[in-house]
Amino acid sequence: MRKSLVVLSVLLVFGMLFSACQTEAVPEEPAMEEAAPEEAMEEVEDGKKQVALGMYFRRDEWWQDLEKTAKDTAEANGLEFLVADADGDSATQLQQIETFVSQGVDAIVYAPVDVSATTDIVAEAHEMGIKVVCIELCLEDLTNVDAWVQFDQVKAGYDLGVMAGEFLNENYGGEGKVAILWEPGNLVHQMRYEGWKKGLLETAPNAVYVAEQNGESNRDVSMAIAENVLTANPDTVIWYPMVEEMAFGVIAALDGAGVDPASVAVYTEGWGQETLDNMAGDKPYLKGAIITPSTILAEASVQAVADYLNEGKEFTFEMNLGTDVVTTENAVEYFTALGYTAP
Amino acid sequence: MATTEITKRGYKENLKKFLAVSSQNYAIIYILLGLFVLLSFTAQNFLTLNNMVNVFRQSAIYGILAAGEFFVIISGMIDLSISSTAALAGILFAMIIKAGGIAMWPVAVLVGLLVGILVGVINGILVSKLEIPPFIATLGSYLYVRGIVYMSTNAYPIVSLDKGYNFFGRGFIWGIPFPVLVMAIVYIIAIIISEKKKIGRFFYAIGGNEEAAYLSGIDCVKIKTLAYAICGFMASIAGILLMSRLGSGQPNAAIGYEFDAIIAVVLGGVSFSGGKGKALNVFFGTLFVAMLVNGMTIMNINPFAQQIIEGVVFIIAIWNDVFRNKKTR
Repeated sequence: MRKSLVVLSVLLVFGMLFSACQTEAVPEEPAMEEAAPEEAMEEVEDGKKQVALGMYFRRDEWWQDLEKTAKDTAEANGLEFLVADADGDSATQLQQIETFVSQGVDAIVYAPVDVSATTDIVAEAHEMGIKVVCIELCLEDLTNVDAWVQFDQVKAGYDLGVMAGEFLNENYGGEGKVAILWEPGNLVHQMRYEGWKKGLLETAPNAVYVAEQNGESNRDVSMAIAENVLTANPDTVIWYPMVEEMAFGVIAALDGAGVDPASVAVYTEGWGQETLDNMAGDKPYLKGAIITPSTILAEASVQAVADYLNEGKEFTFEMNLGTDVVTTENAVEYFTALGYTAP
Repeated sequence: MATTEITKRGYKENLKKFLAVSSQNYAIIYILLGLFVLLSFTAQNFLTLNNMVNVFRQSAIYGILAAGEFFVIISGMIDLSISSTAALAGILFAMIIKAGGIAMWPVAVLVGLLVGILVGVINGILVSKLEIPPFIATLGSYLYVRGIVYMSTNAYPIVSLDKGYNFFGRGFIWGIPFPVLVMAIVYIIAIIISEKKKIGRFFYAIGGNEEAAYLSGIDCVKIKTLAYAICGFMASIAGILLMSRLGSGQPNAAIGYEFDAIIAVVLGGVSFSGGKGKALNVFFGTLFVAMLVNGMTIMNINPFAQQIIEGVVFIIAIWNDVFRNKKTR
């Protein structure tokens, strides 16, 4: 028994040591309260109205910045902020939204993992007078949703497709091989896919698709896929990994294979320091990125909630936010204005 | 004349015997050869030196993880925490290099490896001393170790690292990718330990029948803990190579790698119930998985269909294990 206690103590110390370990390399801004709704509720101060944020996941900088901005906006408006991370799992998200509803929060802002899993609980929330705002995606049945704040993903894909077509026209007489890395089951990706195909077809109709693979929004998976695509089709010149994590995997593969950055073009939906590094650094594989700033999305959605809760201002149901186009030419200017460092 | 016939008969019988024994002990080699021939004819540019290097390079990280998992599985246990352990070791490696520059690489590697061993030892204690079932204990480790990774990085990737950082994952020595060299060394050591050393026989003995092993004087607690420590060590090597290959420190790297490593081990003919299997075959199992994925991507097979194929291969491998175990009984 005594030995077991010693073992458990060692485990505990080990855990505490690592939990205390913080890297200096990490920016300080993101508030990463791993607050399950139940735990978060305990921290709620009496009398304050509550807004709960349901995150799609928290694995990349885009979502982390969204969380931080949402928290800041809520607090600036005198609201209590609760957060839960579904980590891309619709069942987990359903439980989290159920918890928010059962705790009686005043409003829920969330990014649905799929278009139907939370329909019933959103209806229940509506009956209880809880306001529900979708961000990014929304439910198929919009009956009980109060607002939907989103970017035009089809247009984002379209703009990138046009840029890719122009690259092919300028450098390869309008012809060239194209590879897409995406998550086929992700609805946002499906919208981007639709837009991209249209944009590229209109600009460079002779482009040939040699790969459409599931990069799982994961850097190492995407890197391996890109290496394999490069084996079969070393002359692939256009790459469309739909999110930055996949883009960085593709870029690592291109770099590893010694591909000349001037001869290929990678397009993605990007954000953050690494996007800037890959556009304006010594190996600018990334020729264009659509920026859908998560900070704007968070601010717009939480502010709408705050305006309603504090001033009774009605929601505008559909809020379409603009996207920014960043290329190798304006990347430094764009990102340094946001506080990032030029490479 | 009669002598020639007898010789011929003897030759045929020997060949038959060889094929029977080798197909039982080294079935994975035949399967691998079959896949190789199939892809050579069907997948564009599959049979090129570049692509072969590619397949080996991509198999290296899984291969090293599988080598560690091999020691745990032949001892009759399982380790589901290897992907998290790899991520933790790799992240610490990246953090130290970020903080101190590439000159700190020996410290970074050492710390990464020690942490891997530590996680392995903790797993070993949980399983052997506290008698928590391996599946549960290592599932817990999978969660808490990944949690430590996220907590220590705030889930932010560690980027803008010195150029030399990439060498471990992308560099070449004598024209051979560095991770492939590491994998080769790992397997040579694994084969020596498992087949030539007394300690190797202890792993098999515990996996085959723990009670009998205990009664014959083997310190099961120590050996089981050692198996997990080796597994953690291998996972940390894989993690360091992976992070270097990615050119950054990725908190969410290696998620799901434990499944590929386990598939490779089982495909290599290692019994899921322990006590049987060869390290060399695990290497071929790893190559099989890498070649399959490589071939399917080259052929641009629908990603969903790829998942189905991988799942079916896994089930067949397990079924083969169950079938062989029944036959043995």
